[in-house]
Amino acid sequence: MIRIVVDRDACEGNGVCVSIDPEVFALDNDDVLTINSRVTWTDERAAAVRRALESCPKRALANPGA
Amino acid sequence: MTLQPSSSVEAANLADPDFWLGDTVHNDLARLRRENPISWHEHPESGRGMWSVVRHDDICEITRDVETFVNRHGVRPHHDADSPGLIQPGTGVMQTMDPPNHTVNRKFVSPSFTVRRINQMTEYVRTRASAIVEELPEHGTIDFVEEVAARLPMEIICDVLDIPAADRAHLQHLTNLALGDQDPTYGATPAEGAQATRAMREYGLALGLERRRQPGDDLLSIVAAQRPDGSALTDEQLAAMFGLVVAAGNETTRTAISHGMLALSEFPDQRVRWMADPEGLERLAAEEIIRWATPVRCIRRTVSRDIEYRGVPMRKGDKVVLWFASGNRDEDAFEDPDTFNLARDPNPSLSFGAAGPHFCLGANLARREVSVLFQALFSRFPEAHVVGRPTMLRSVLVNGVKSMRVEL
Repeated sequence: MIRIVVDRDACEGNGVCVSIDPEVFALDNDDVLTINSRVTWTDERAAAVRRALESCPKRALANPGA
Repeated sequence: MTLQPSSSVEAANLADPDFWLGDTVHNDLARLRRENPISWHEHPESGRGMWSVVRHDDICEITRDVETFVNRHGVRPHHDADSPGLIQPGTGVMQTMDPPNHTVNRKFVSPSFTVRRINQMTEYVRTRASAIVEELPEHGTIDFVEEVAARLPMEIICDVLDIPAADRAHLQHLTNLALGDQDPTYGATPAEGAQATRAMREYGLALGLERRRQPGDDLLSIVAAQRPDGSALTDEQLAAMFGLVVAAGNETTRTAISHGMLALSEFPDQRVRWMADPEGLERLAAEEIIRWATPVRCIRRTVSRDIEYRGVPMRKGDKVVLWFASGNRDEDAFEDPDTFNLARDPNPSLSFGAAGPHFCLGANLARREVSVLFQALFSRFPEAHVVGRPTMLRSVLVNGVKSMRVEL
């Protein structure tokens, strides 16, 4: 499992992460990003989540463990 | 000498503006993705030639690597940084900046496009869209581009910047010239396009300096104002930011709405499906329309050092063009990529610029305009559909629609 911290001031709700893993990342009806950590963690998912963190155009997602 | 039979399949030349007006675009792009994902293309109207990147994963990777693939030498595929008569990239506008300059510049305008700000604008966008639809005749055919698609984004961006009503048509004209710089209808060459951009910037600078002295609550006043830390945009940057916001806020959303109308006519089942749940589907529907339209076909980077990418040697200074039009139909990234599916989820569309710091600032506003406009249109005209063939813009960059008849 990867810890994900969202910088709420930086997040624009562009949804790039949502398109990479829609089970972990979601936008609610106000376009506010929500994180769902109750998912099955596989190596594939971990790789996707890392890619999502790197892909954030606003660098609003961080993994403090990395 | 034996005469060779001519090849039945000509190699696609993505650097040729006429290629994009043909009927084989998506077949040719699919073949390139399979057989030649990194290829070299040249055309007299596209400067010195370009590497073409057509796969979704490569496009994402390159937009993330801002040190190797840079913006500061320009982002239009057909312009070279040193072409005479063109605007020199790298200083004025954040699109042709790299971090950290880009990061600093974008902060002057990004607070005005946050999710919260756009949400607060929803009712206003709805009112604007409804007014445009209300003005249409009860039945008959209209030029959808001029009477609907072009109006909403232009009115909204001009309202947001508080541009005097008398000047708006002129700005629209300059935008057409600036972005239609390969289309003879607009009488525009790249040099004429650049001149239009300069005229737009001069206008914006004069208005911006006025707002710096006497601010209102519009976006231009916010952008022109001094930051709390005393920093401010230079005149050149203020002018360029104005030009960017007007051109980007205008042309791209207009194109998305036009192609959306075309797709909803070609796939009436999707229109019916959306109108059965207009608000529930709005986010996914807007995303799919924008993927399908890919209003900006591509964006360009320049290689900052000699490298090898996917086994292909690239030289410092080479142009690398990332074809969103192809990545958006990549079989490895989308299920049934050639199906227009308003409920597509996930939808890793590249239309807003793939990944990385240059991701479209106006994405949320654009999505909102697209969904709200079709909700308003189909609630008054449930059967509205395209008749005849639309006239497309000749351009390697913009997937523009110049005119399109719609029967209400």
